[in-house]
Amino acid sequence: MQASRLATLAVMLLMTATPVRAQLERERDHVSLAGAVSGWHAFRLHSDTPSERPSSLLDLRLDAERSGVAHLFARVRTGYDGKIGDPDERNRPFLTLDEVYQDKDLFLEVDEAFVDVFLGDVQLRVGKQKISWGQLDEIQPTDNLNPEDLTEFYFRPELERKIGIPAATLTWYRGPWTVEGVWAPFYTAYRFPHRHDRWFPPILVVPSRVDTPFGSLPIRSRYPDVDPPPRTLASSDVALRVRRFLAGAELSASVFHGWDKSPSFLATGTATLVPTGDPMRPAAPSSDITVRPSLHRITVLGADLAVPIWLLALRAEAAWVHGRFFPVAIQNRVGNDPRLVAAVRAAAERVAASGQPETIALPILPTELERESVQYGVGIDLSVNEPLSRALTGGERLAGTFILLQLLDTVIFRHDQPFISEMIEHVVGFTIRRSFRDERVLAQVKVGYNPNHGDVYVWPEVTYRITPTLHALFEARVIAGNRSQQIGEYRDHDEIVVGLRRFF
Amino acid sequence: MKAQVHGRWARLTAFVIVLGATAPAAALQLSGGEIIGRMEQARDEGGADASSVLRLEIGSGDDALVRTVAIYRRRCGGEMRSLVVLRDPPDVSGTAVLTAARAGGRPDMWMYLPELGRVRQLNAFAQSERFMGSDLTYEDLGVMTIAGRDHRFLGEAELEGEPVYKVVSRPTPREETGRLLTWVNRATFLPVRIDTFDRVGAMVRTARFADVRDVRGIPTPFSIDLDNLESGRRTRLTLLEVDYFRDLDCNLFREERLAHLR
Repeated sequence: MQASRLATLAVMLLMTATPVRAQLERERDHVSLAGAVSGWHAFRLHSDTPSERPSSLLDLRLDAERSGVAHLFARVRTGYDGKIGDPDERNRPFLTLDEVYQDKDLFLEVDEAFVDVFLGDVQLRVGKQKISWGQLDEIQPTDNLNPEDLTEFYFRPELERKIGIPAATLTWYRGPWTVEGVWAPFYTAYRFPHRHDRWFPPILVVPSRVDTPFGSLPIRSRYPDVDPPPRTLASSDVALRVRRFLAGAELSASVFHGWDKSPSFLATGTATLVPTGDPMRPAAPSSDITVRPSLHRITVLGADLAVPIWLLALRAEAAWVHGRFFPVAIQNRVGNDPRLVAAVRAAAERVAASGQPETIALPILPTELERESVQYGVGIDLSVNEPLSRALTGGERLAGTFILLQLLDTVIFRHDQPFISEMIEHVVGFTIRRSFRDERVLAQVKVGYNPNHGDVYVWPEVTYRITPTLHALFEARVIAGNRSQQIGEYRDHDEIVVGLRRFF
Repeated sequence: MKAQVHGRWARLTAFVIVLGATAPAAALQLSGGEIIGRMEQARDEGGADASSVLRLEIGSGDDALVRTVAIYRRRCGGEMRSLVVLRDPPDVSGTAVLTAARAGGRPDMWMYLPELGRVRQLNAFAQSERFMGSDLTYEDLGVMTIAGRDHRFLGEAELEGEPVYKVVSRPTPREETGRLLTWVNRATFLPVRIDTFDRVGAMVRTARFADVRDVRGIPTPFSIDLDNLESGRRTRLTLLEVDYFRDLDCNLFREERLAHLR
């Protein structure tokens, strides 16, 4: 709490400070330091969900360029993360590369730090970097190099979710062709909310008891962090993309081989039976379940396209994914799983006979299974200009409005198990955005809808420019749907976020 | 905020950094169409390899929206490539739009939004008619011309101490505005003032071009003021820096290079 107060005080001081922008410019070279300081609070609308404390963030960006020769960019983020329910004091405040659960309330992170070297038609970028491939909005099937920070579900801007990876990128361009090759030598973990954090997914919660044929079984659960892979050449990521600009259309084909950055978990467990001395119930069982992030190597072949048509921009993308694991719904079956029941019953009989406690490994059903899959999507976006607005409304009040509509499908082949996702899972995305009052107010609404399960989230955001450098932020996150699904599980996590951001 | 920039900027397909030295033509007998043609030519002078930094002030007083923009232009092969980078205010700094325009085709456009961290292709036909949320049209900036207008030479005159040609232009049937009255400097062929009227004859806007300076032999107006008489809003564009014949590297004008520009 002390840390929270200190961080809040620091934010208040920075908010009232005179904006400073350091900049040094010679003839064509430059060095600049810029950034923003933000403070916000999320007010939950359902009191039975985990709460948050106020959060703050200082975001610093250093940019330096020797014109036409080299470019240096570094971004450092530090602050106080009020979402963290049970802070981990180890290594605080430094965010690491190989931990999924970065549950540090006070944090410091080098978000990106890279050098670009320009050699004619070749550009080499070395350092911690974010690589953005693909054409779709928010989720791109061909964009597999950077893991994401999902500690706030998807309610963060895409670039903020993306985690920088240490990598070397070589880009070669000539005429309409561009070839990019990326090598990321180390595994970098995605980030996920920990068990006590507000956005820990409810469908991953292990119940404290499960009903079995021989009574209610108490369960203790653990959520240890990922076992990071060794830092060997064989465990690095590689990717290649070829792009071609042709008759107004931007086309690309890509291949990726490396670690899957989508969250996946494996459950293991033991049952312990102790003698009770009660002849009617001679052994008392209990269970320990461990849910740990799992790691898998995948290969992705993809392609994407962007092309202007009429007043629209059409974007499409598709990828075939080999080696990805998909989560299986086991919560409702585990108590009655015959193999599990038989194992516990056999152990109970042995304990009853021997009078000695015994611990056995539980043959839990797999929580994830590997399947071939394809992900594809198509989207259109439209910027309403003055002539279109006049044609639609007789005036210009719609001019400047941006509208995006997108469909993203995931197809799981050999869908022969109770996967959480259906064989073809659809997600429809919609975004509308415009400004008001001479750009003093910017409003945006994002909607995600899964027609398979009726899941939906609505995410309106309003930014009010109090001054050019001081903005007030208002957001709402509204979620509805099926509790057993990956959007609907957060149906009780509706919240309103209010904050301030000062740029300098 | 950046989304709005998306809509308003992207039309900056060919912001010509201005204008040209042409021979004094007072003695010539020019038609209205020829004067306007020479004016358009003068405004395009030097734009094939140029850079500038400008300050755009929309409105006045405490409510004014102020932006600083860097613009680069280069002819690369058969294309005119324009790069527009927003430097200030800091919340949208780094936003960049690249346009590749070629004769007889739809321009290709890309935009980089720092917030999004990715370059996106845009539809040039769907972009705003106006420059960055101001009342300045791309025609005011010399970026585009509208063919098919009927120009009529009204006579020679003096405006603010400068000898000018006065030309009235009748709109094409597709235009919603009425006539335009243009005063063109007789020495430089730069516009000095353009008044726009509505269809019933009331003046709705006035654009004034001033502070003409010689940059590498090219007369360049450093100030454009536009008064929207309907809304009462004023837009002021001031060139802070301009340079021509920079021999800019065409590799700078590639969509892959849009990120982290300034």
